[in-house]
Amino acid sequence: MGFFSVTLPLGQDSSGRFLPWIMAFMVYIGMLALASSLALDRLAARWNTGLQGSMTVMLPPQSMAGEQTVLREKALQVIRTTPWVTKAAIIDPTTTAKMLEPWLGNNSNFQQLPTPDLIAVEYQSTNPLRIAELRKSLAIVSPDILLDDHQGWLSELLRFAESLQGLSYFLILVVEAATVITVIFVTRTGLAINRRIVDVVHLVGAPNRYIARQFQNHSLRLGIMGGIMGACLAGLTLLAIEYVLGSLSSIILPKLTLSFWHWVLLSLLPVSAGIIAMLTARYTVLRSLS
Amino acid sequence: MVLFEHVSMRYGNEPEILRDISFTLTPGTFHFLTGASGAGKSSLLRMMYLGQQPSAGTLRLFGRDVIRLRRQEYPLIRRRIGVVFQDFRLLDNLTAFDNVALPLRVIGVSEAQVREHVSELLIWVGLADYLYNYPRTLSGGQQQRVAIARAIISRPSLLLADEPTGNLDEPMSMRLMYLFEELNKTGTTIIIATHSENLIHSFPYPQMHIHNGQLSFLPPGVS
Repeated sequence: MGFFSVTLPLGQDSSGRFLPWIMAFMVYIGMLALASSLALDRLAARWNTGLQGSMTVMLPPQSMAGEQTVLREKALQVIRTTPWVTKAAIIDPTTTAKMLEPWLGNNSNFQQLPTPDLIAVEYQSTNPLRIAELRKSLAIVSPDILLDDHQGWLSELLRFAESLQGLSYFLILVVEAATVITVIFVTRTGLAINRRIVDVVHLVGAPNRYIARQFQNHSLRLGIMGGIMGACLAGLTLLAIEYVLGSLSSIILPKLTLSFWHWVLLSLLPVSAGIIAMLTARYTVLRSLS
Repeated sequence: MVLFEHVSMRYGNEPEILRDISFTLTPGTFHFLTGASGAGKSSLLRMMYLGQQPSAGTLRLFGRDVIRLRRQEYPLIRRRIGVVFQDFRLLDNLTAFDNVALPLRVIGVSEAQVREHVSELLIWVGLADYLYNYPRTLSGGQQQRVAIARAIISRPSLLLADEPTGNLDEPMSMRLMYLFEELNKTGTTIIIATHSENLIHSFPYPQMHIHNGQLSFLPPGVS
């Protein structure tokens, strides 16, 4: 009989029979929470890097076409003469129409709508004060020109993503706590059911840590078994979500893309569930018998 | 080895089942423990395997005062004591072999030695064909022999047996008594609680007799 063998008939009482299913459920919830947290992290990083070093200038629509062209040229001149700006280009109306398509639909009368001209500006990293200076310079051209450095809504979006991440971590904590409480209950029940057998094992000279090892090995085995079941189900669920989101060509819904290391991290969850179950069982037995 | 000084014992608020008991057992002695049913034989044994604390007096085992023993020290004392229970107390989920091997595995004896010693002893007690049988598939007598084998497998310094031959036929009882005698010759102190007049008369060992909660010593063969 090896180190991980179990002498006591712990697998025979009903309390332990449900543990793998409970563990599977916990790991399933935990993995989905962790995966969403990791995906959100990745999404937030992508938003951040995608919009870093870029801003948009919006020119109000003018009633006369000639005025619009003059305004556009003046604004472009101000922007292009700014030393830290690396690129400035008018976004052509077709691209603008495409960007508005999710909200306005495929409207053939789009050209007749009073939409603003947009100038995409790229720049080397700079401080906010210099952006404020550019905003002032553009206000001289026309007080209705808007300069959007994306920071306002981006910070809101990032804060929202961070809140969701916090919620995911909290959910993982709740799942861990529930796992610990379940294992404590199952271990105590197992101790009570096997009281007579535990007494016999004590009487042949077994120390408490020998009994604790029996329970910890049993819990480790059930924990990992349940963990693997939960992990398989969660993996399938995540792949399904990834497939569904990937097949929808929506720019509003984020893509659930997990890297190789994210999957490695997720696969540690069932192992950690087993280890938590093992340590909890050990601690519970030692505490109960002392 | 075993020292009782004015020991009394009661369960909860019940009247004392044993009163003011004093005796000493030196290493290598052999005693029968006799008395009517309910006289307190099992209770006396229970105190000796640390299953119950005295309610008064001093009990010393292997030089240690049991009242002052810390719980962590119990296993070390218990490993020197072999116990045969009246109801056997075998683990139903383990085979006869694994039941007997348990005390050796608990102390970390190598698997090769466990295999050798356990097989040898089970063959000796007549269970060669039942090594891997579970207790439920064994008769009362066979279970009793497994229980005896488990108690003596680690060659204890003190062997306490509660009616160890109660379920055995005459030849097997004698055979096991000879085994106890062999063990006794190697220095093991033995106390056998029994009702069997035949056993008491067949072997020349003194009796510890309990009557009305009091313990007295009787010479060999006296009923």
